[in-house]
Amino acid sequence: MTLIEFLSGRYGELLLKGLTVTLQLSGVTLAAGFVIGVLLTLIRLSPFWIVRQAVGLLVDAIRSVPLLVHVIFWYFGAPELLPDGPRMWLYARDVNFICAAIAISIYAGAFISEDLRSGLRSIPKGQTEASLSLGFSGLETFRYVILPQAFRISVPPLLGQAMTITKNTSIALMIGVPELVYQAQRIQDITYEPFLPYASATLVYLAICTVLTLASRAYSRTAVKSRGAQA
Amino acid sequence: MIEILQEYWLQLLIGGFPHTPLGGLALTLVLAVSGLVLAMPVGLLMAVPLRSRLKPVRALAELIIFYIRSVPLLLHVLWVYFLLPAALGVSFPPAITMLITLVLFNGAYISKIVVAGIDALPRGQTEAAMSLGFGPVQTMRFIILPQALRNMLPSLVSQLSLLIKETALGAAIGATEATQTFLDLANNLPGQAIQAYALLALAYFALCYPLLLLGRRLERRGRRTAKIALEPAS
Repeated sequence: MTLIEFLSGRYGELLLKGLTVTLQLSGVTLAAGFVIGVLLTLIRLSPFWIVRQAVGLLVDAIRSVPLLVHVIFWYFGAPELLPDGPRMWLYARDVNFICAAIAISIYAGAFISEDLRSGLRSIPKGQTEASLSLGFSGLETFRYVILPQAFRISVPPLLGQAMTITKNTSIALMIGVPELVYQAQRIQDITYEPFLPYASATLVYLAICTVLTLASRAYSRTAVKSRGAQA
Repeated sequence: MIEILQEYWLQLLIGGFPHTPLGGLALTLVLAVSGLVLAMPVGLLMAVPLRSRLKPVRALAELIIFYIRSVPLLLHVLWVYFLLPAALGVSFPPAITMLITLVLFNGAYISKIVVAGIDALPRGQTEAAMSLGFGPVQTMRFIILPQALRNMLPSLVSQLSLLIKETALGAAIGATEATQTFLDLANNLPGQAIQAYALLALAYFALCYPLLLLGRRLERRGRRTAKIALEPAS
């Protein structure tokens, strides 16, 4: 059986379903992870030392634990803590997908907040000083001078995170979310033939990463160009 | 949580050893450390074509590394798990399958670290060594690599903490490392499962967090010494 024949049949359909779940899970977790990352970064700008330290430790702690353990915790552990009402509500829905999404979003949020923070820290102090001496208030300085520059610096690492998140969603198969690798594994269970399903899944990931890599390169080029135009 | 520890600490630490192959946290550590040690020579070897003067050789090396980095580690694990026995006609225990995957996967990342470490050195180092009569291999061996290794140290420490986390995927193919051991334990302790998972998370935290701090510290120190070295002698 060739790859084309394999993909045009029933198995292609299964893989397509898996790809849809992978993309849904990646999209949801990227968006939620970004929001969590921004929130963590903002809290880490707090003037209180103890708050900064506590959030810093939390981010490090999240990053120190494997994603699989996060997923296991949120799927097997956390629902036990819920009162009966919300637990019933959760189990009436797609509990595997929801728990995987929560775990991956939190994990991604910690990494994104690190990217955003190093973006913020790479802005020279002179920018703040210059803007303050031009009469901007502290908040205006942050909003109009620092944030736009920091965001521009953070785009390539964020695209890198999008790649990492897409790959990380494969771990959701461990709790039975029917994403791409899960479907490949299922087809292998039916046909006893691992090569074609895994090759198809591999090609899909390669395609996704190629697109994101090209986007990141294109962005760096235009960013360099626009900075050159300003100078 | 304390009760679980008192009751099962030995099992969590080494699995069913010596009645079964080594498992638990010990297997996690063995996999991570031996994975890093073996991935170093692989990374060095892969760095050679990456720095080749021939463009097709460079492009091919970049392509292979792009492939390794674009595909989820879990899928690599499944590839090695199913295809290596089919290709070689022998089957490996899950822990060895995991180790092979980790070595290849991390070799690709380390080759990039090696290249960055070498490129960070001033060109004058190579030129000075060559003009002192060192051959290219000697220059690499005695002048460039020792200095590059110091540049690479913070990244290698971070890589070790990544490796510790990556070993958790061994659970997907039944390697009885820490995650699998805790999962099995949680199955036998209904009602206490969440405590077992919290304990598992704490164990990884205890292993990885010190490495995270160490990596950060080395990076800061490296930056400081680099700054001093770059200051012009007056």
